Amino acid sequence: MSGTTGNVIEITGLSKRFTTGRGGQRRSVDALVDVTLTVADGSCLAVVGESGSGKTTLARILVGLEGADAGQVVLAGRPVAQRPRRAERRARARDIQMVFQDPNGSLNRRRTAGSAISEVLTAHHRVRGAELRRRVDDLLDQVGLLPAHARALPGELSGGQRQRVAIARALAAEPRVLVLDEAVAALDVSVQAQVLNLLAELRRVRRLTYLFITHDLSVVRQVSEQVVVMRRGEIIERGSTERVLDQPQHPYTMLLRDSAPRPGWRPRRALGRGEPRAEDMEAAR
Amino acid sequence: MSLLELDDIRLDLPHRGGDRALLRGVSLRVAPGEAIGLVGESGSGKSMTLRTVLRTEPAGARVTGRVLLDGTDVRSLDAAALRRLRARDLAMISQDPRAALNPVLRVAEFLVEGLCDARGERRGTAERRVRDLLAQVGIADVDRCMDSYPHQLSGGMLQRVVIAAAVAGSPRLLLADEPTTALDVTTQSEVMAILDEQRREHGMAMLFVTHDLELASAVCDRIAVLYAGQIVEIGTPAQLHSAPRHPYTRLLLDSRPSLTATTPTLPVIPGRPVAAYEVGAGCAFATRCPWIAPRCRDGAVPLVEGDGRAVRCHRSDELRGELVRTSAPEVTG
Repeated sequence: MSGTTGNVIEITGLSKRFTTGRGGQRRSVDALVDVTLTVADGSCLAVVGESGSGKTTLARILVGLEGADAGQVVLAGRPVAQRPRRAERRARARDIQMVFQDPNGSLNRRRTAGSAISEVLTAHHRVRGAELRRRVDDLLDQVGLLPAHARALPGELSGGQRQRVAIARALAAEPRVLVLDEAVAALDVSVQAQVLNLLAELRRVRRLTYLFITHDLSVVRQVSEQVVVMRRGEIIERGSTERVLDQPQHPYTMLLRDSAPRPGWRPRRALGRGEPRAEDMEAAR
Repeated sequence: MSLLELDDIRLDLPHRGGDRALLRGVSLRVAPGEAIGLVGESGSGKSMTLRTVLRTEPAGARVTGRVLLDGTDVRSLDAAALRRLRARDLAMISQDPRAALNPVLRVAEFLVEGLCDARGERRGTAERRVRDLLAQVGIADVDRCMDSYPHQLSGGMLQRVVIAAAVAGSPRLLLADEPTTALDVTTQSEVMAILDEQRREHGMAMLFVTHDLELASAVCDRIAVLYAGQIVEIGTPAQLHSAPRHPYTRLLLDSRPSLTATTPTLPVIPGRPVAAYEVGAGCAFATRCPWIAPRCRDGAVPLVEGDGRAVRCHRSDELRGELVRTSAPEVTG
């Protein structure tokens, strides 16, 4: 169980630096700089940022796909080792699971939806035979698929159905936390609404906690109670979703909000003609 | 007089087990200088429509119907005439700017050579023009950009270079296929603003393919909504937002989460977008439509024009009041 604070995720002073190239070409990028955040049990925290903001690195460290250089992660009351061993990673998988933008990355195209889900079930719970099949059908039902879908290969499913299988697979470990990394970004508008509703329903029914990474402020508004805005590895603004979207304090949050297409919106240049943009100067260096 | 006229474009692609239809009769007119958005979900045929104008459809595709550019049928041109047309009258901007650039040429060589080859301009003149254009598309350090290879520039910078290349030849029609989909939102806003401004300054017409109705609404005069290889509705952004006439348009607008308000459950369109080849008799949207009537299931539904807009729905007259979006915010344009 989580500590007395009621926070399922407690991240303190997390930093991560990546180094690329060698010799004179050697360069380093600060992917995370002193990131501190908490996520309350059963809530949804949205992490907003553009490419290079560090939002995906944050998620990868949280689920154990990456180690941090400094800082601490406490998950469900247990401190998480910086470089976890295999057994620790497996234990962590029962606390936290991740859903990616591209479901093909987490599904084997030669294995059926059913076997993708049973693999996780058998890895984490002692189930076999008829009980295993029942649990698979149950999970498929929870994500709005039919028992017949268990026999389908990923290639025989639509994009929305594949993302549902990826969600069912994550749920199979019975985690308390789901990290959703741009999980609805690649879906068609009509399918995206279905999956957003499904995620809201699952959170309510299974009392899940979400860390929802997205670049889409409309999605943030719809799914989250709290939001952090990241830029170049740092959290530059945080607060309740309503406050941050309605009264942003940081100029970058304002820029993000003003850049989102919506009724009556017009695209505009952030700066006048000919003025340099920091991002471009960096890229051109 | 239309600059571009698409007349009943059909496209079939050979597939094991029989041909598959990708476009099922797309008709559209674009006036000189007009921007039209082609909006739809995956498999709706929006990109494929664009490709029939440029004649870059997949190998083996069978295309029928006419594509008239200034009255000339693009589909029946010989190779030399098609090359001239592509060099002089058309420009294409795709989602991936790297696809348009040569990775082993510096930006300067690419742009200057383009002008010299296609337009027969002299080197000095071409280079001055390229410098001007790069400054116009918001590139601060023109010298450094000219001297760079594509891999040294960010996606947003590259897309600006491609826009500069596209407008350099002053084409009459710009074909843009999701030009900002791969970019960050702040860069998207900037690149769209530049594209819009350059298009207006050069008096170019544009066919703008996107899945984002709001984005299309911001830069287009009219929007054509595609579903399963057909246009289901054409109207101005204001018309579509306040009073859509096709159930699909209405539901598409409703199912997108709002930036300013939440709802306990988002209105959804049941099922998934169907591909053009999966459509049987009757209306393509019938299987997902909450307003379905028995007659929607049989016979093709024509695209009916009226009030300066067009809709492909048997019930559009009866549903007119019901489809009005009362909560729709004001849309300008």
